Amino acid sequence: MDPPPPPPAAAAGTAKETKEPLPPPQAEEDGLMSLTAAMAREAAVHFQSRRYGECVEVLRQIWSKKSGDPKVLHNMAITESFLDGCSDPNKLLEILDKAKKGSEDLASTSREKAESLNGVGINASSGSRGNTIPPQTSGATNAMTAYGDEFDTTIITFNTAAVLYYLHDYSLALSVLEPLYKNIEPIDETTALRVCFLLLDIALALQDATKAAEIIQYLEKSFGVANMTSQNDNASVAQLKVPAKGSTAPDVCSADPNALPTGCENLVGNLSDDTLEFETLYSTLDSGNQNLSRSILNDFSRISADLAATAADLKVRLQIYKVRLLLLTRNLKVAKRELKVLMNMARGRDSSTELLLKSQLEYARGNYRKAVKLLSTQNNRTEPAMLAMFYNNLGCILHQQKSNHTSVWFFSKSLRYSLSLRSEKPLKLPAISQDKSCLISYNCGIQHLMCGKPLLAARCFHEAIPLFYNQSLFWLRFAECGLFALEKGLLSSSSVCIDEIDLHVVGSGKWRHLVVNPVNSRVEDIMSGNGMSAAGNKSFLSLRFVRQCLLNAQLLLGYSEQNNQVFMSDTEDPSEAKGQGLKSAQANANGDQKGMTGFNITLQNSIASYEEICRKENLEIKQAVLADLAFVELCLENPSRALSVAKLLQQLPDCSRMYVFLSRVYCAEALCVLKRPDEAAEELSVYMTDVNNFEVPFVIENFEKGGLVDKDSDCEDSVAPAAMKPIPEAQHSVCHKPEEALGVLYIDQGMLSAMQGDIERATYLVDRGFALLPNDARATLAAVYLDLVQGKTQEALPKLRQCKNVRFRGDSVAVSS
Amino acid sequence: MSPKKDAGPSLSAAPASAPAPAVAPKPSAFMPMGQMRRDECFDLLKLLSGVSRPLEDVVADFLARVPPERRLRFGSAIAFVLEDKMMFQPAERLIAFAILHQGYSSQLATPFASVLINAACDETSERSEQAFLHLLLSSANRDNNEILKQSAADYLKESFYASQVLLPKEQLERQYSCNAVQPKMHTSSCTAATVRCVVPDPDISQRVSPAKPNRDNVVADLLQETAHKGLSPPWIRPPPPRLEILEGELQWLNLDNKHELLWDGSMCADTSRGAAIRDLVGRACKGPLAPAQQEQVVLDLAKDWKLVYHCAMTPEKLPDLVEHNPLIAVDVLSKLINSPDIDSYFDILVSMEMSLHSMEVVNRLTTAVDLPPGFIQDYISNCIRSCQNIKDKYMQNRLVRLVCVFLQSLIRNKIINAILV
Repeated sequence: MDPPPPPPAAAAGTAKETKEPLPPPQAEEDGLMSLTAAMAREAAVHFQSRRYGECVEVLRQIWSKKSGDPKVLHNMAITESFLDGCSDPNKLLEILDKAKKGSEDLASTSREKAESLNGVGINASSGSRGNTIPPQTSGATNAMTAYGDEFDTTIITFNTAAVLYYLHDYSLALSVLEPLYKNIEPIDETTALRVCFLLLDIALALQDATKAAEIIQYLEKSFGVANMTSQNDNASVAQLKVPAKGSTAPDVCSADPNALPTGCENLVGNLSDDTLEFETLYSTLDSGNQNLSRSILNDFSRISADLAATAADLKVRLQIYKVRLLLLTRNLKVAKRELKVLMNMARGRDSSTELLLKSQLEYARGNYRKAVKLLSTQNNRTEPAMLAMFYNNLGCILHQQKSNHTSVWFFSKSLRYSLSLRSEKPLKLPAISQDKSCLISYNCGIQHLMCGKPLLAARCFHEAIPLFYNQSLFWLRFAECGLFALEKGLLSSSSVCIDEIDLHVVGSGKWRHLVVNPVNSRVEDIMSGNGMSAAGNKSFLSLRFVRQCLLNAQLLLGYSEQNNQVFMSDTEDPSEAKGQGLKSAQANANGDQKGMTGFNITLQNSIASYEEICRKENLEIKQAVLADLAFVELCLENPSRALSVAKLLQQLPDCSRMYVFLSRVYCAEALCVLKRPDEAAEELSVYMTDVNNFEVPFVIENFEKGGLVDKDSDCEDSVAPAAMKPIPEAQHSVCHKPEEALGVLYIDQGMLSAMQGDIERATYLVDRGFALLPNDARATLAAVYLDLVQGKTQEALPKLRQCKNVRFRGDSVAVSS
Repeated sequence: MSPKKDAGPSLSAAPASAPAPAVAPKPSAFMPMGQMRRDECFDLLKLLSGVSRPLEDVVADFLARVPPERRLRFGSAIAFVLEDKMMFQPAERLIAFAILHQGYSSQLATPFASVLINAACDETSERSEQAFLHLLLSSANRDNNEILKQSAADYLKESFYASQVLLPKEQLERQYSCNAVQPKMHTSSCTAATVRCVVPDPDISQRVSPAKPNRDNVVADLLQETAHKGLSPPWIRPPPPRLEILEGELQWLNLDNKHELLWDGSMCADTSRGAAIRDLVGRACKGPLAPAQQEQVVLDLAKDWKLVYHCAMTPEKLPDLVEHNPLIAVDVLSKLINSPDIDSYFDILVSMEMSLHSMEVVNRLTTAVDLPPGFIQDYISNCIRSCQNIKDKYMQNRLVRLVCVFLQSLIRNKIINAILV
């Protein structure tokens, strides 16, 4: 452990002054301990009143007496981070880690010691009970309550998680904080509350609805219960008819208020209250037990008054989380209701959070104009963080309104504001936490993809990696950029996407020849046009990169699948399984809390339906990933891999018919390349009605998502249902039409037959396919191919002439004649 | 052109650093796909027309002029044009084959082995050409310099090729595949079914024999073609559709909540407070506490109920605590109601030996906390079982009476209803 720099002489001087009013040590052996304890209290007071400079001074003095103490180290790091705005969060994390390890080491050594002493230690410590400070001192600063365990690492853990949360490392923060939550009961209420709230934010950031709901229910239960048990306690205490007549005052009261450190002016107010209470308590105890219950009652009423002060605040906060959770789970009806409750609660408060939530609700409900209006009422629009948020959300709304280009403009604007936060030097933790560039970049990337700009999209996604690297959907989108670029001829291996036939006329006179070349029309444009800039753009995009993205996505999906399967095996219904934790929690919260149970059931229902949504989305993602991967493997000329991936896709339970079709076509091609044409034909044969005829492989409904979410009926802007969505600008996303798919089947089967040597059948099939795909260069090519195979060049030429997608190069006079 | 000078006409001089044939030349913005330039084409044509030069000289010239990384491109262009037998004159074809065969560092690894083998076994070709290729191919150990030493024209004149035995294709292939590590040419059924993508314009009926300069232009054009693979069966590979933007996929931003870093109040703190109650609870498990001590525990817990987690209480200690200090047990249990361990506490309580104290604890708990469903029923059955098992009539009597009182109290407090029992 590296010791902090020794305090400068001047600082030591001032510290001496502050030290002077401290009471002299009461006993020689306790001297050091009580001295540091008093100084610790002083430091705490400085900290609570935000005098961090003074606080650090005191801490340095304590450090000089208790060098190496992990808690001092911890508090020092925390205070210094407040002092300089936390300019080096990683270093802070390091110190926190060190402090935690130090505490744990101390704990284990002390346990060993205690075991060897066999209880002696306990007696010794209880002996020193007399000259301790009454616990109420810590009442001034509730967060400071300590429970005997001096090696407790709760606070250190919390702070670590908080820093990680600020750094947007949510999964790590979750893993740090989760153990605390698991054993939250023994933690004092204030800290427990903070743990819960932090965990809630982390869970929501991770879109983990189940976890968030669990915490919300715990908070409701335990804070409802907290009040309830106090009443019960009163009852049980009242029943306690202990003959306490003439008993001496309990030990607690032997703590002389005068022994309190007089140096802590800030505590005086609170302390005098406490002293008063002690005196009353003393007298009540002295006068007999009849008043005992009353005094306790008073005590409780004081605590609940304390709680009540924060209770309103607490309720509002909890309500905000509830609404956010409901919005996450897309239970818009209940979200609307709860938001109304929140608006009523929050009257007179700063309502920007509520307004933003309301805007989000209207956005989710499809009332876009209302959402924009609410968003615009935000008053604070000067800070870059707020502006970034404003423009980002505006971009989201415009995306829903299908104004992709405007949307991308807003996202870019938002990104600029967000990135401006990064320019601050040194980069401090608050700025880092406000920097949402990763999220905005993702939005930006999606929007570029929609606008048909895969290279720009890829660059945005590249920026979003730090936050999204563990999301399969993200990697899928990244891969889609590559595939889109491939289709647009922006990748070097673009020859795989043929959309045009290049007919090159070479030679002249009697030597004139025609060269038939299938090409991607857009490749040439780019090569001849701004080829250089295109080459610069594609830097990291390649088919191999696309494959890597897809493999990442597959890996992540596999992981989540495993988790799901565990649930599946437990119970029939996965949603029920996930709700179990909630139900058991709820089982405890029966009885008096019936009012809450109603909401809990709603919450559970919305989580169950949200999980269903997630399951469906996951299936869609999985299908897309596997189809893309099979496609890419084919492009990379790895037929055996393509085959196994396509088979996986085919075997996916609930795989949509369109993806089954794709998987079969990919399988057939792979098998063909692997010289297994018979098996290839088998793949396609499922769609055959008889020897030479195919049926439509899928109908369009299969591809559309059913209305997963019931939008409220009272939407003002009539939102087009999914089925009627206008075709996005980018052709890439257009789903295959069933007739086209049928044409593909004919052509491919025709090619298979040709390869198997059955030219006659091939000609028939290709003719059928050609009729279905008259404008498809590949269909024309297939027909031309068959003609060339048979040496019928005379017949091939008219087909080429008729095809829209044929481009003539060279001496065109001859052909056009 | 490469300034590298080859030591001699022999093939061993070919730079060993010739790239693996599978590696395609890097595309550049100026020459997409490494296309041949016009002047390169004419250079090559000039080489090919040197029919009276010794073949090895021509090959050496080729090696000297064409840098290693361009040779694959040249080779495939030559092979492409060779497919059309009308393009080159017979002697020129021989030179072209010689270049294909010798133009690589090791002819065993020549990527055009299959082209050469196919041509060697092509029945429609001239016998002289087939024999020439056989001679080339069978000379794995490079003792064929003899033919390379003559010129193409001389070779054709001499006509000793007539005596050359033509091997079947399989044998030639075996010969090549056994000692070659050449990358597999794409011999999938797709490429096997490739047709030539160059067709004479069908509108022109007659063809003349190869003659310059018209022919040179065509050949140069063909050499410059980017794709030399021929037309394989055009399989339609439908691109996968893009996944629709999912609902909620776009990130809506919310205001952040502040989570201030916390001060650790346990720094240098006194730990005796927990110790006091720990001590008392410890004693309470061993024997009845004095009334003052009882009050102390109750008071401490009342002040800060979370202390209950810090008094070293465990489910195992519960029976002792119940027996010695039932009131403290009630207090502790009702404080522990949210503890993750509460179920094991209740389990112990239900199964512990029945006594006046345990009944008192349960009775008080019924009014103080929400007991888990079934707990009371279990406890009552336990009581009844205990009553049945007692041998001593007097004790049994007493116990039954106790249970009755207990039940009465439960019924009175509406904890259970008589119908249920």
